[in-house]
Amino acid sequence: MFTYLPHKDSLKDYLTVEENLLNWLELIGSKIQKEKFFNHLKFFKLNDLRNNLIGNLSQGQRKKVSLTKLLLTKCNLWILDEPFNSLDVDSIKKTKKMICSHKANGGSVILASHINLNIEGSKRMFIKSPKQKISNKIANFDTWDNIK
Amino acid sequence: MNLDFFKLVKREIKIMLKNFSIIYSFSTFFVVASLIFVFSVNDISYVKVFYKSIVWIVLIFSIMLVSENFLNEDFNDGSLKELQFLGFSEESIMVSKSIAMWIMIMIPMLFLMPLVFIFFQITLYELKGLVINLFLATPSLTLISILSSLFSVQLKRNKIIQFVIILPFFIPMIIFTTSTGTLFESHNLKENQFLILIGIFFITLPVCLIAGRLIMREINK
Amino acid sequence: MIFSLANPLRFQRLIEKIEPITLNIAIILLLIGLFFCFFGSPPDYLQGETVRIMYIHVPCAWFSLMIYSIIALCSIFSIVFKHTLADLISRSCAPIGACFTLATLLSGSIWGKPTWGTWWVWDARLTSELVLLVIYLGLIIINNAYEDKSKADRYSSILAIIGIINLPIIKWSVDWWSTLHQPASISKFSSPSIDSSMLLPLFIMTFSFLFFFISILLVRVRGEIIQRKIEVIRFNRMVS
Repeated sequence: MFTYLPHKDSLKDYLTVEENLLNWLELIGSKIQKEKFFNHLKFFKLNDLRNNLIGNLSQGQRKKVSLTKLLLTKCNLWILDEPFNSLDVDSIKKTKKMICSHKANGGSVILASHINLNIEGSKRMFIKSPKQKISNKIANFDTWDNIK
Repeated sequence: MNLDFFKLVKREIKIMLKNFSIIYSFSTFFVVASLIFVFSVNDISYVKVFYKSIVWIVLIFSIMLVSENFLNEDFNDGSLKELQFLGFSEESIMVSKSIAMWIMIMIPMLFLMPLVFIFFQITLYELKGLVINLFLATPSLTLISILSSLFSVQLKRNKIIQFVIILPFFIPMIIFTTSTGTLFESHNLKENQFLILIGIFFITLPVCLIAGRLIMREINK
Repeated sequence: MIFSLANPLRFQRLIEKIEPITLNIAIILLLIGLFFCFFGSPPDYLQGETVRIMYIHVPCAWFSLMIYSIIALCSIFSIVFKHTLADLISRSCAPIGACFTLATLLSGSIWGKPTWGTWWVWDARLTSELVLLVIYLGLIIINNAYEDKSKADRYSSILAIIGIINLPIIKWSVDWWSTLHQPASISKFSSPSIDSSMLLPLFIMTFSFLFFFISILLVRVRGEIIQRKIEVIRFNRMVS
């Protein structure tokens, strides 16, 4: 069981924050108590915003809402695609804290990011040149010349 | 697995009901477009003859326009990708979307049918045939239009391609719903018409599911 | 055999050898066939001289169906094995098929005017052939709509597979519905309902069209291969 947050935030503009999160919870088939839910919303200070439509929120607030999804479930593996985009410094620190505590509880996280987090015990992989990847996508036409 | 599918359907219907303005704009489009057809007919008595063609052509175009709200939105905010990653199969995503869309079409259409009855001055018998046709043909129409919006989901420039690509596949539906028997000079068409519509549905269902699966796999590459 | 040819570079070298031969054969057969069409075959006792349109119309119709089946087969092949050559062939087949379909419809309507009295009737055979043309146009549009060519290939092959439904409808439309269009004359080789003096030019024309199709296809495939190579070179220069 894992939680995946895609690059886009996958939130519906015309639903409120609360509805979005509850719909998502129902979809993955887990339930949560009302009080616990509100407590988790407090982590990113989204408590006052919970009845606002997602379409009215700013980009950073949307990102926080989608990061809150991680708190709501108890998954071992988190797969995050650029989770720090459009976040302010405070929230990045908070997210780092979240990831550290998840690690302390025995969970694991895979994430792609431009920011170096310096979490202890984490392994880093650098992807420098996109050349190989993209030319693979246009079929292997450059390798044809080698086959003679 | 079964449980998952019903959850998906529940989610789609919930989202659809929240976004009630689609239903409103769908029914408004239907009324306005049929009005324009009526005005374009020279002699008003022809309207009575052509009511089937008008209703079905307007319905097809409105379904094509509405289908964008179901897939393109999901694609643009990334929830299509998320659904696939959560482990829902492509077929179940497509079927759940079609069910939500079918409900979304049928609710306003049932309310609009009396309007059609008054506007085009048709008999009660003809109205009954129209409603039965509506029930039998819209499932395949929704499936095909969901497929067409899958084709155009990554095209940002021209949505018109969606129409060009997929409109030829509406032809059998149009022929048998409006029962243009004179077109093919076949005499035993009218009795079997309902059965043919059901048969078309059972052809379109697997074809659309297989093609939809292939396209959805392709989208995230 | 197929897989050894599946390397586009080897295929390109093969094309360069075959292409002039097929084009020459096509031209020679076309000249012979045209001679037989106009001078070597008798006029029909009912239709008179207009029957000579048949020698263009029927092969074109056959090829409009055959090219679509080639596209469909290549599409299935490219979806199953994800091979680029199948994509190239189906991509370059689509405009040729569209031309053959258009030729069928045009020659058919020219033939229809003296025999049926109208340019166009909405009967099953003609309508389904028109639908085939529209599907071809859809394929061409998809092929050119996406910036990413491999994605365009995949989408167009999916559309081509859906469009297979139309083929049996065209083939058997004359049997299923009572139409103006006559049923197929050459269904069994043992006893065709055409006299052999008319059959001979028909077959010569068919083979000439076949070689013509092959040579045009080869030219287009070679063009596609070169174009993709240019794209890769340009891309590599941009990245590095």
